[in-house]
Amino acid sequence: MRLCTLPYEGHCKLRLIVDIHGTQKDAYVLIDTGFTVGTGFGLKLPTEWTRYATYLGTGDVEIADGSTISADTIPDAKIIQIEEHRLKKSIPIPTLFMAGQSVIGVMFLQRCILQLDGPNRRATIEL
Amino acid sequence: MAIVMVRRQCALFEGKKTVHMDYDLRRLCGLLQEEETEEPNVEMKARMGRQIVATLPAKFKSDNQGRYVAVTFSNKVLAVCDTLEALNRELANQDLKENYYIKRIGYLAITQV
Repeated sequence: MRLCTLPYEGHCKLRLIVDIHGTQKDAYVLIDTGFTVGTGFGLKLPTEWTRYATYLGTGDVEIADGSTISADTIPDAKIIQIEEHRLKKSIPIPTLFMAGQSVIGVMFLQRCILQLDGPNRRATIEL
Repeated sequence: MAIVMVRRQCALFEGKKTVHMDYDLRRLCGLLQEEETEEPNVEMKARMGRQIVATLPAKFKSDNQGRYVAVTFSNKVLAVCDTLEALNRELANQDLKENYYIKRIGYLAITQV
């Protein structure tokens, strides 16, 4: 099991290396337990990164204010590194491309033990 | 769509002067296609996708009400699943080479984020 300690001050971010159809990108993602498995996706990345995909799925997505926008997706991004730990086996993760902060959700987090220590302003994630 | 090459002579009148031109319809079509080969943006793809889903057979849609369908822009149904997670899993296992549109039949959006 690999253990990473992360700062936890108002939010908690994780550094990932993500493979998008052969292109590897560094992503600093916000840990969001509200980004649930029920959404059908596990990762949200910037819209600009659609250029790395060899194919895209497009769908209409309802956002927080109740409006509907169109967004590109791929079913098969891969997480290949978490913080300084290179994974022996990449983790496939369906991904949305939308404006705003990159986010990692429960589809990935439920593979880990995540501990949030508010008073000590740190979090640990164990994979 | 087959593009047929046609050669015609076209006479243009410019005042008192007649100008004869040979033109190639395929070249004209190609020129028009060159202007239109810019990659469609996400809104255009969504609009095209909605149109494709709208033309799916009524029985298919009634049989799959509430299910998630992925269709290519060449009108091929890639997968139909009960959940979006299952659809993404199914699509990840296919050797996809073209873009597609995702729709939850009977719903405006495929998910809430």
